[in-house]
Amino acid sequence: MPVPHPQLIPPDPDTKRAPDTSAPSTAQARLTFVDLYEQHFGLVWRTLRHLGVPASLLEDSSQEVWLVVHRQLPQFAGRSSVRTWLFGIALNVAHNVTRKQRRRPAGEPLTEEPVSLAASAETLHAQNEMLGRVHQFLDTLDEERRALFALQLLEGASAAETGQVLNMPVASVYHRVRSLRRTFQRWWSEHLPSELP
Amino acid sequence: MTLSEQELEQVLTQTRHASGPSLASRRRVTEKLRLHLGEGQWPAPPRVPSPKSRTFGRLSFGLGGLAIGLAVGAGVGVNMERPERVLSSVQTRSPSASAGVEHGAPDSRLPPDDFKSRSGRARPAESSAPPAQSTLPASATAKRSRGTRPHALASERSIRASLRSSGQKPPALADPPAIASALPTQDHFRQALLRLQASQRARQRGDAERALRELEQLDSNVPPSVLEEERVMARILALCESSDVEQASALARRAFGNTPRSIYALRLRDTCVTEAPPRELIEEMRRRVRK
Repeated sequence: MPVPHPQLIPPDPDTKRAPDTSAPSTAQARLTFVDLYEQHFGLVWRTLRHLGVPASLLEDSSQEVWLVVHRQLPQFAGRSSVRTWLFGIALNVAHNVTRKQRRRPAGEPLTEEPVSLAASAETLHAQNEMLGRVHQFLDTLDEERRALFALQLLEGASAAETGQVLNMPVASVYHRVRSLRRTFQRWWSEHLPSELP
Repeated sequence: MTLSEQELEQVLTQTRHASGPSLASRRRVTEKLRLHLGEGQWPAPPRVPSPKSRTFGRLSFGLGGLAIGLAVGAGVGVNMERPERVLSSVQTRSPSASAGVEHGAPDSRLPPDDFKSRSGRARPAESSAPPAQSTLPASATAKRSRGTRPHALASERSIRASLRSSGQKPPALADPPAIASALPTQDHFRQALLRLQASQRARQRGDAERALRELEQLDSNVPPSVLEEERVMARILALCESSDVEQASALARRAFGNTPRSIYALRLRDTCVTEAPPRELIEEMRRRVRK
């Protein structure tokens, strides 16, 4: 059976708020593992990262997610969007990883260094700082609120998708996200002036 | 001072942008999955879209030419001008280890610690094997720094001769359909170096069309995982040479926009690529902190 030609590189992260073409439809049946992998690798990676998976375990965790996707794809009925499904799997894997980490904390000597396209060394440093700061904030949240922040604010999931993944009414998602935004804004302004170099 | 809504959005966008996977990470995961799930799961990896064949004469992009030389030479730990030396230094490595060479060297703009952190996870091949350049005598290093064309031609000739004498297929005779899913071998690495070198020379002559054709040949003969980022970078520079800024920018955004930790992301500054992430926020942050 000929396999559709996948894209080489996943879509630009800035397209996150574009309409979700992976909504349930008859096209769902034609989804292949490679399609999913090519289109959503970045999404899974970032989600795992925002959910607190240490940098040193990101590759293994990402691999684990995709193995689950591969295993469960034949059973995927398309009742939810693909993104919701992937978020759910990533959430479970991240939960397991972070739980194990808490039980047996390992050293984390290596960090992922964020570098922007065409950025100068100074900019890279600033971006690194920013990413570290956001993750510092995420570390102050409980698991549910962290997932809410990661899915809704960082990955641009819709309220319906987030509600489905976190098993939460949509109204609650809106309410909590508003509250989270305010908390983050306060936290940022409290921490930024004193700590940035 | 509270973060405004607009600033918040910018912080979130930047965070998302900075937390994507690198091409190297993505490739490692892909390789592991490929091994785990079997080759059958994976179709032939796609090729970078072919550019329109356009020649705009001898437009000189000195910085661009320098960038790929530095990128593949200094940034990657591979000297394109003297590939045979590099090849001799990787003789003892496994194919996977030689693939690991691609991202093994630090960016010269960053201190060594930055390199350690960027590489994500320590790889045995990198940590145990000596750096490729350390096998060179001091005189050779000095010679190499001069980087003259006759050296390049001589090295290419010697490699081609060695290929002939060892009875190996010349690059053009490789079977394209099998390439995409084939595991990279040392010969692939050798071919990739030759093609990249030829592409670089063509570009330096101002023959962008030839440079792109060399990269096409490379794509059809060598698995895409071999010197993957170098190939993308070489293509971007060739597109710049052909004044196809739009395609070059699109390719750069696709290739490095989502893998911002690539060592080549920095070097894109010296090319015609116009895509750049918003820096206003960072500048604004700096201004606020200075106040």
